[in-house]
Amino acid sequence: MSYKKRHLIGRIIVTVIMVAFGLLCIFPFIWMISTSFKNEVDVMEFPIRIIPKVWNFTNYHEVWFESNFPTYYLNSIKVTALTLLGDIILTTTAAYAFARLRFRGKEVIFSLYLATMMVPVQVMLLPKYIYFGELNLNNTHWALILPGIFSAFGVFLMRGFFESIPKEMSEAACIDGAGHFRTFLQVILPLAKPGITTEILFAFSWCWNDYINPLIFLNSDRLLTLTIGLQRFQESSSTHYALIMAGATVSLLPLIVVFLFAQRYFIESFANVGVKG
Amino acid sequence: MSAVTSGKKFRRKLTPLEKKEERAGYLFMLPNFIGIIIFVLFPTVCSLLLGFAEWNPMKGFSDLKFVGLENFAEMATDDRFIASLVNNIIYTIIYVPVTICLALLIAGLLNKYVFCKVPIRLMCFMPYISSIVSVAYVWMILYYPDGGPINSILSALGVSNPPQWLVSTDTSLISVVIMSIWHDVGYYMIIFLAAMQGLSQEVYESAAIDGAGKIKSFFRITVPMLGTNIVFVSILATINSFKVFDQINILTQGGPGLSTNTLVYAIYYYSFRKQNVGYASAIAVVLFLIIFIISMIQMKIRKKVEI
Repeated sequence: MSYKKRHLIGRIIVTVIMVAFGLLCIFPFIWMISTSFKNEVDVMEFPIRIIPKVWNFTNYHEVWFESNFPTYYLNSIKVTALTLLGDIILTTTAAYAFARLRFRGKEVIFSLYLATMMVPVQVMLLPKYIYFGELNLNNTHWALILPGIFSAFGVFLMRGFFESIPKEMSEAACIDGAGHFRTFLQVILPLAKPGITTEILFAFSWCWNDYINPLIFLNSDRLLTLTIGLQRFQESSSTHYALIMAGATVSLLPLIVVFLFAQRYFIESFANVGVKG
Repeated sequence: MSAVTSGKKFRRKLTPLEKKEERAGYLFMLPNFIGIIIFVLFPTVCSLLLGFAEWNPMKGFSDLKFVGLENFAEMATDDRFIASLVNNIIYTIIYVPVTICLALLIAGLLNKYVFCKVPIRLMCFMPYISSIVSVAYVWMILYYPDGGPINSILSALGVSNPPQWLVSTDTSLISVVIMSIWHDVGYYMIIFLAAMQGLSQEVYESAAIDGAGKIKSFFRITVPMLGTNIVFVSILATINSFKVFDQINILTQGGPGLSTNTLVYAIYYYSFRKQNVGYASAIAVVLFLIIFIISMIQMKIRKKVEI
């Protein structure tokens, strides 16, 4: 009995420590939200007050009605939605070809895909900027969407998922007279739902949080996405910390809400890819 | 790898069915592949070539001339480049081991020894999905030296001379590293946690019968059994640490002085602040080589593990 008791006490102690650690992890978020409701003079008060002494909603009013945040939001939504749509269509079709179809040059092309996965995006920024300038793509959303659609990593990931689907399934469809397109659409895609979810969550969080591409390719205020928009906002509000925190909260909110609702999928997806990675 | 051997079959004449399959293959694959060529392969090759050139794009293609290794020779005497490389290596040396050990420890504890595992896991993972830009602004204020929350807490704890964090050249890099570790540790933790859940329980049971304690079984069983996972995640973390940019551009813009310049920041600086196309591309080549070598090591290890 005493062993069990010791075990239980140990477990409680570890739980307390881990909860404390977890709170430490989210402390910056709590502080951010609490500060966003404070008056500027109370931002640096000590001891730190999590519940503001005086509630102040004007920061949010200013973020939403006196800055371009609504535009930044729409831009982020537009860029992310179009990128995701293109990415899913072109990634799954290419992955299907690599996983199931035989064609000449397949191995060579696929090893090219593997090779491009090693190239950091930062390496190609400058040539992209120069030739996007020639194509008049700079300072348009297409400069973010078009390159975002084509993901070698996505193809690699989806190919893995498709290969794990038993061959018999697609062969049965073939015998029933379905062409490759129908097999892909009606047999493979429905069976690869977990894989597609993973790809969507990956592409979504990558695209929504992308900073370096909008920083380089976008210039006009009306085109900015949330990350770079927040930077502009910060530059124009200098040391109004409470205001900046309201902006940061507003920019983080959608992703955190999506994450809290779909946290199981997020965590499973990221963990799976990491283990395979 | 049956796909590799099946390629040989195409030496002979194709049957109509195989021809149809091949046509479908190209149809499915080409739209993506063409995009990869335009948006990934082409810029990469350009970048590698421009590293050996000198060019002012404003003056058109006639101004482009190849200068051999001149750009690379210039690096040896460029304080900014040397500082970037050294800072990046210091960043990696601190970031990788601390993040990996912390992630392993948290995963080990969460895997077995706590109640309410799911909410704790959620709290640890939350920083990772948040945009670095937004949370960097929070940290910027948290780090504020005079009366900022972190230093207020430190003074309350009796630290008489709290660090200046982002403002001082002595602590700016470590401040950025701390924020990066906070942001990423949850990610590596859930990878380890998933790997631990795949481990067989029998070993632990027999170890417990042999009288091994919890701590002992963590270090003697869990850690060795995760060996390859730990190696891969460390390599992943190393590669990521050489790509660090967002938090640096927000928190310090490479400063104060050169104290937080990193490789990607140097590429950005020479590309878009100095418009020095050739030199910036040469640094990009260096970054590419570093990541290429690390990836090669990764593939070598993977092959060894799989055989």
